[in-house]
Amino acid sequence: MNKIGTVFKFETIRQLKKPSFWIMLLLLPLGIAVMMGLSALNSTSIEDSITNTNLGDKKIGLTDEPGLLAQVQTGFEQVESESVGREKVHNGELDVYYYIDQDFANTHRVRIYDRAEETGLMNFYSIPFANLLKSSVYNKLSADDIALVENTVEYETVDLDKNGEQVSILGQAIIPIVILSIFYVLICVFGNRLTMALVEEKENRISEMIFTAVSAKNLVIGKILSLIVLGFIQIAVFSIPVIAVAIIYRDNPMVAPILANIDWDPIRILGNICLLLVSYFLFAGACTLVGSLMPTARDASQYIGIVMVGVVLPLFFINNLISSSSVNAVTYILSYFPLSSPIALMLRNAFGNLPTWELVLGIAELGLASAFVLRMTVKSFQKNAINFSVVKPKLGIRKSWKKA
Amino acid sequence: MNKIVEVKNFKMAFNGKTVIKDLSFEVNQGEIFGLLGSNGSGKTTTIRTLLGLYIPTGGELLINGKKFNPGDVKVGYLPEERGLYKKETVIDTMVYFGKLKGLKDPRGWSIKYLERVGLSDKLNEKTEKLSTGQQQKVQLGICIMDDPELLILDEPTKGFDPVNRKLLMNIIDELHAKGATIIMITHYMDEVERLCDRAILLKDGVAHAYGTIKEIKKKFGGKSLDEIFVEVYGGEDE
Repeated sequence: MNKIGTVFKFETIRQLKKPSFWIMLLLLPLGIAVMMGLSALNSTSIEDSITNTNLGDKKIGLTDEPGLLAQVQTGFEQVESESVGREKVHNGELDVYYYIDQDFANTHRVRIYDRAEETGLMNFYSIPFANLLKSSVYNKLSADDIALVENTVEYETVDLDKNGEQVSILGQAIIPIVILSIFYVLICVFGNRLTMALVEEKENRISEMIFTAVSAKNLVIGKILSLIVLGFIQIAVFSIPVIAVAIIYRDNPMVAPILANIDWDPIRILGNICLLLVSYFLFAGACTLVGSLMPTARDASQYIGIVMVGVVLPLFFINNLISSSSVNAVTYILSYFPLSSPIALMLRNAFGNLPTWELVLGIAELGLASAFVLRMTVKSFQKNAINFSVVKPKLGIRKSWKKA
Repeated sequence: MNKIVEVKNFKMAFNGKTVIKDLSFEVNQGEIFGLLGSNGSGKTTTIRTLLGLYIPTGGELLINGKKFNPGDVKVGYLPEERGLYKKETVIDTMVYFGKLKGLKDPRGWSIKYLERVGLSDKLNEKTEKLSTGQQQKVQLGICIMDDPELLILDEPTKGFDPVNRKLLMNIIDELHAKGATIIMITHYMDEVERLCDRAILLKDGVAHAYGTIKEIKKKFGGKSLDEIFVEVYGGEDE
């Protein structure tokens, strides 16, 4: 036990000392935040520049053959024909010219002439003109008609649970989905590190020397425990800023509606926390198993991709998992195939599509699978620890179970 | 004399190919024993199996009458395939191994040892920055740090210049004087002649000669060990 502790301490401290650990740890959430921020900023600025285009200081020409804007005061220069309007834009007498032809009822088309060097690819003049056209129509409608046309009618859905109580499906799903996201980020960031941890002794040719001081079993147990603790450190690093932001900015107009919408369902939250823990053990086991079998990091990385595909597979069948009406064979296969099981079960649980007995069964299955895979890892590391070359790896499962 | 190592009717096959046919020998407590043979003769396989890294196809390999288990007996092994944690400092690596070997003051021991072998200025250097010879000194330090009862050295002087070779020999002499049993795998017959009490010559997984150096020489008509080596392994691709 003392030696496991020594290995655990050494492995944990040296990982924490590595700048690459912290870079990888912080880079992904930071990258996601920066990308989301930039995307929001960019879409807002484009939208603003289009919608806020001020036509007041522009020289605008108009030919309105069907008289659509007859009831609206536009203040535009009336141009007798399309060719004249086009020429005026060309020679700079007009900044923009709108042409609505006589056949609008059939074509539903307005032609806009502007100077390409001013507008580039952006269509600055269409939205303000569309608003003008809308105004001319709205002048003829009642408030009710406008609400129907504008689709501003508020549809309030009341979801009832089995007891007839009102529930918020999305609100109940928020926290379990956050827990699922933590698992997803964890495997993306940590998968490689888990695999490499068991290749290192082989790649660096330390195995034989270290095995006179510590058994392969104690070495691998110490390493896996360290990796699990490092995983929890990562979970904390991801979670603490999210919780802090939620507390500090709880009254912020962007944060408050989300917080207000959260419906705390302890069973679902606890269920996903349990699934997260056993899933991480299983994932750690699968990655370290690959690491224990392969002689070099390069060989291991080829196989770890297969594990990753298995884990993210449920995301391609999301409809079969979040809606009870779409439950079919695929739902059950994804839910109980060990690699796809974590995300499938967490998704189903998040959206209330996982009966309690299935949740318990899923946690038990993942727990057993984790124990089996971790045991296989220990045995295979013992068998392959001095496998320095690309030879057929030996799992030795049959023998190891017999011995056990 | 007490036997520290017993190899009884050891047989080993990999994927149906026999590597060790039927090998038996003993190593007595406190002696320096030479395990000799050309490449592929089964020396490393024997040591790996003795240390539990391979499961034998047949026979028994015991240390102090039992199958090896780290912690039961203090064993230092300097393997032929050797390395260190590349990204760790010399002192961190040695302290880690010292703790695993149960040293009370691994840092203090390591500092003293590094001073002795002329590496005190490399204490906080990453091991990957050291030369091959310097890395080998660190590895040797790791092997001997807990005063092992049994020290197994596979080609210990490979890559050492004469000065460091002499330093290594002095360290081996000291350990031997303290009562350690040493198994040496080497191709340098002068080292065997100077250091070893007894030896075994392996060829194709069987013992060609086994006994004291005197007995082995007598068996081959009083030839030197170099001549015996050439006679036994002559024509083999080294």
